[in-house]
Order: sequence, then C-alpha cells, then structure tokens
Amino acid sequence: MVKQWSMGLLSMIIVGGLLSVVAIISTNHYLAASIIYVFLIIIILYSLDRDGEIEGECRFPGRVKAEETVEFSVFVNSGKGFGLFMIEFPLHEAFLLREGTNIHIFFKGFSPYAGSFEFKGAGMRRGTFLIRQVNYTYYPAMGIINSTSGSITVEKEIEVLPKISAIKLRRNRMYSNRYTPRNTISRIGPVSSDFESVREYQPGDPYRHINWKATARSPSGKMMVNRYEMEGEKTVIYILDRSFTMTRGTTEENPLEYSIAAIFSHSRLLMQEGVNTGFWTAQSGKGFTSPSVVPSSGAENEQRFKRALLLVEPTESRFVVYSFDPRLLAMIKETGASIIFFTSIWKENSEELSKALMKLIRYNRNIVLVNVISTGIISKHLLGGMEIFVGRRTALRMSARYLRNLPSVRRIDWEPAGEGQGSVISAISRVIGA
Amino acid sequence: MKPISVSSISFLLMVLPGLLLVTTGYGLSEVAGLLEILASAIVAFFPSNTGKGIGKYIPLLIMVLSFVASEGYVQGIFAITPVIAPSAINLISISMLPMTAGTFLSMVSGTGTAITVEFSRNGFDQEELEVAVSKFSSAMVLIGLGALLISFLIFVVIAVAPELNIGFFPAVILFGVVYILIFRIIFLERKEKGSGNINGQ
Repeated sequence: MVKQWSMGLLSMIIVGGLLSVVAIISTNHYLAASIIYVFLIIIILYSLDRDGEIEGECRFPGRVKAEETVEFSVFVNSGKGFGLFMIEFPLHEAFLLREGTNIHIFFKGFSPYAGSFEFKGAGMRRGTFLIRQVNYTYYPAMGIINSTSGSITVEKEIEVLPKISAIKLRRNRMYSNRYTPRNTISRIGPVSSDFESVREYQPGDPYRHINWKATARSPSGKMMVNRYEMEGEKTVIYILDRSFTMTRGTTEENPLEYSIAAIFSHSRLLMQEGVNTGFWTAQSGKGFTSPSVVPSSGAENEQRFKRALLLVEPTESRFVVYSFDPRLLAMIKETGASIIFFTSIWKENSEELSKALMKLIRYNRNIVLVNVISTGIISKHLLGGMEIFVGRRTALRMSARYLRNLPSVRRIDWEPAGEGQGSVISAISRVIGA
Repeated sequence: MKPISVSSISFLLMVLPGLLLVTTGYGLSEVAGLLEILASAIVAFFPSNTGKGIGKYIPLLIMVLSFVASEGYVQGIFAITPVIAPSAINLISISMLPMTAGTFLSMVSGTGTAITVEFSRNGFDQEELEVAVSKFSSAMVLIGLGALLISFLIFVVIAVAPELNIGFFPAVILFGVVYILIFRIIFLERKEKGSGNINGQ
C-alpha cells in the first residue's frame, strides 16, 4: 500500500517529464498547464512533508485486581507533520483486550490534531507491569514509504493484584504446637494455663508440668507431663517453588499463579488472626528477583506479602536446583514455624525436591507439601477438560512414588482446575492447625 | 470523503479529453476518445485493479500518443493521420490539465482503499480507520483541486503576459534545469530521511 502510494507520487515526476517531452515533440505549449500542475502537486506535498511528531500522555489506574477491567486512555496532540499516524499502546502478554483496540490511526492534516483513544483491558495474571512508552509510526503523505517512528514516554507501572477468594474467617484459634518456649516470647509466646494433652516427658520440660498421677498410671513407667496451649501465635512460612515445573499451563493459569493466589488468600486469613506469616521462594535463578517476607503479622506485613507476591517470577532455567535463603533456615530454626511448601511434583524436580525437603526436615518436621497438579490445567486448555481425571490419577501416583521416602511430609494434592481455592486453604488450615 | 466520491471526481476530471475527442473528432479520434473514457472509468473506479505499474497512466498514455500523432515533429516526419482534429487540439491540450489532476486523485482513491484493506487486517477499529482515510482523501482532494486551479491561473498568466515569451529553446533549457533540480532535491531528501528515525517525547 505504502509503496504503491510513494511510487505513484514519484512517478508523477516521471509524468511531468513525459508531458514535457510530448510538449516539445508535438510543439504544443498548451500542455505546459499539465506540467505546471504536476510540479505544483509535488512542491505542495513536499513542503508539507515535515517530520511528524506527537506529544501526549496515558492514563490508567496504578493498581487493579486480576481479571478486573481497566480503562486505558491515551491523549495525543500533534502540531507537526502531514500524514497518517499509527499509535500502538504496548500491552503485556498477560493483559487481555476486553473492549476496543490498543492500536489506533489518525490523519494529521493542515491543522493541529488533538484527540484521545480509549480501550479496555484486563490483567489476567498478577504482577507489576511497567509501561515504558506508547509507540507511533508516522506515514507522511508525500513519502508514505519513508515512515518514521517515535514514542511518547509513559514510564508508569500497573500493579495487578492476584485474585483473592472470599474465605470466611475461621472461628478456632491456631495455637503453636511447640511445647517449650525455647525462643523469644514475641515469636512463640508464653505457655497458657489451658490444658491441651498429656505426653511423655522430654528433657527441658519444666518440673511443674509433670503429671504425677498420669506417671503413676503409665504402663511403661515413663514420666508424663501436661501439655498446655501457647499464648503466642503460630508462625507459618510459605515456601514457593519458582522452577519451570510451576509454569506448566498457560501464562495466566499455571501452578505458580494458582499457588500465589492461594498463598495470598491464606496468608491474609492467618494474618487477620494474628498469626506470624513469612514467605520465601525455593529456586534461585539469574535475572529474577527473589522476594521474601520475614514472619510477622498485621496490615504492614500484609502489604509486604502483596508486594513480594507481585514480584515473583518463574526462573528461566530448565534445571531444577532448590536452594534456600540462609535467613529462611535460621527463621525456621528459631521459630519452629510450620512450613507450607507449594510445588508441582514432576519427574524433573522430584529428586531435587526430596533433597530439599530432607534439608528442611532437619530444621522442622512440620512441613506441609502442597502439590499443585497441573495436568487439569493443561487438559482444560488443550483437551477441553476431557482428560482431567486421568491426568489427576497419574499425577497423584507420580507424586506418591516420588515422595515415598519422605513419610513425615504431609502432602496435599490440589487440582486447581477442578477444585476451588477454598478447598486447599481449608485442607492446609486443618493440617497446620492440628 | 468516501472513496467513491474521490473516484467520481477523478473520473469526471479524467474523462474530459476523451469526451472532447469523441464530440469534436471523427472516426479515429472517436475510437481514441472511447478508449480513453473506458480506461478512465477503470482507473477511477477500480484503482486496485490497475496494479502498481503503469496501469493507472493508460488514459494519460492514450492522450499523449494522440498528441504525438496529431501535431509536431513525429506527425510531420511520418505524415501520420492526425488523431485529434486540428480545430480542437488547443482545447483538448488544456483539458489535459484536469486529466492529470484526475490521475492524481485516482491514485489518492487507490491508496485510500489500500490503506483501509491493509489496516483492517491488522486489527484497527474500522470506524476510526474510515475517518482517517476519509480525512486523508479530503486533504488530498483539496490539494489536488487547489493545485488544478493554481496551475491554470499560472498558465493563464504565462499565456497572456507577452514579456514572459522567452522563446522555445531557452524555455526548454530553463525547464530542463528546473526539472533536474527538483528531481535531485527530492531524491536526496528522501534518501536522507529514509535512513533516520524520529525520537519523539
């Protein structure tokens, strides 16, 4: 198209030359009028052929929820140029156009142009997306073939918060399952007077907790002590696998995204109950931020969680090597935190996962492994959900086989394509609250 | 302005020499005139079918050949039967001016259609695209018709002013120099602009 126009305009010069030759051969000076016309057209268009330039600004909200419709507005004005301007608002692949289009076109004629474009989109996955610039291409009327490009600087971020399921507050309080407050009171809390159970004596137990009657009744003759509930709140640390096995599915629907949404919902729930919650990732990778949150509770920690979860990105490497932040291990040791490890068990990561869990077990045996099964997500998109149950059975068999040497790890299998977030959150709460 | 309007204006302008040929001439000029009218209709209303080559210049070529075969050196040397009646030759020569303008507008119409088709495929909003193309066409029609009026006035001024009668050969030399200068300036500028980019705000 553009070539056709440009070549056409250039061929007008040839037409001018041809008419001149004909005027000479035919000695017809009346043809001069046509020759004047051709050159006049070229001179007019050439004088209008200035460099096109656009100024403008973009407006859109800085924070939205996943799948929430967002309105983007681009205001442009152009005082220079004579031709067509094509504007493209670069949308991240995680965004979906809901209404309108992010590419626009307008013609800048003799007078200055001022206009605006609107379109609606939705962030389909959580994250922080930086919109650097709006690009434009200028096709001058004279030489459309010589298009030039430029940009309007935006440099604005849009935060897409994960989808949070509405989960009812739990009625029961979660108490620490650690008997002796060996660590700081602020993290573990003092022992309450509420009786919980009777168990065998362990070195370090206070003498005043010895239950003499139970000791006398004990068939083995072992010393028994009373166990009391802790006043302090429980500490829960989420560990999220960032390896490539967590990205099976689509950009918006994969184990990583489902895990983040579940962590976000569950941590909010726990923090509202005053539980200290922390967050770490389990896979080191180059070029990606590895955000973490030190266990704490309250509104401020909730914000830290939100920020950290927005920044999590999967690693690019196809090799899985789980490594843990030394601060995480120290924190587990200090607080005796319950660990909730979100992963997706596949053959590629099973061996490394076993090693990683063995390492964590050395610090704390209270580990819950949430296995996010991605076969359902894949079949939902590729096979229309037909193979979802077959895929689930295979995945369950696989994960059971791979983790058979780790009996102390409690595993929760979650098929997000078929089960809601509520089911996994309630399962986790049941296990760690026990 | 809709493409059909541009095409209609283009056709009306292009068809003038053909109509004059048919109305003022005899057998051969009538044939040439009818051919020119037919070619003008195709070029004006089916601009995309004329291709990227010389298709859109066929009516112009018919008229150019008619002029060459009607008067001047070629006609004199080969003694060809004139295609254009000598009595109407000046009038038809002047009608070449609107015809050239029509050729330019047919190009505008063809480009407008091509822009609509190509950009529609790329996901642009149809309504917005039509507005842009319409404004493009309107601006070009304005330029085309403005240039038509101005060039006619310039021609009239040159024709009626006796002091501007500078003779045939000096006029040819002057024209040649101006032509080469314009050609050179435009090509050099195109080449320079093609290698750079604008970085806006």
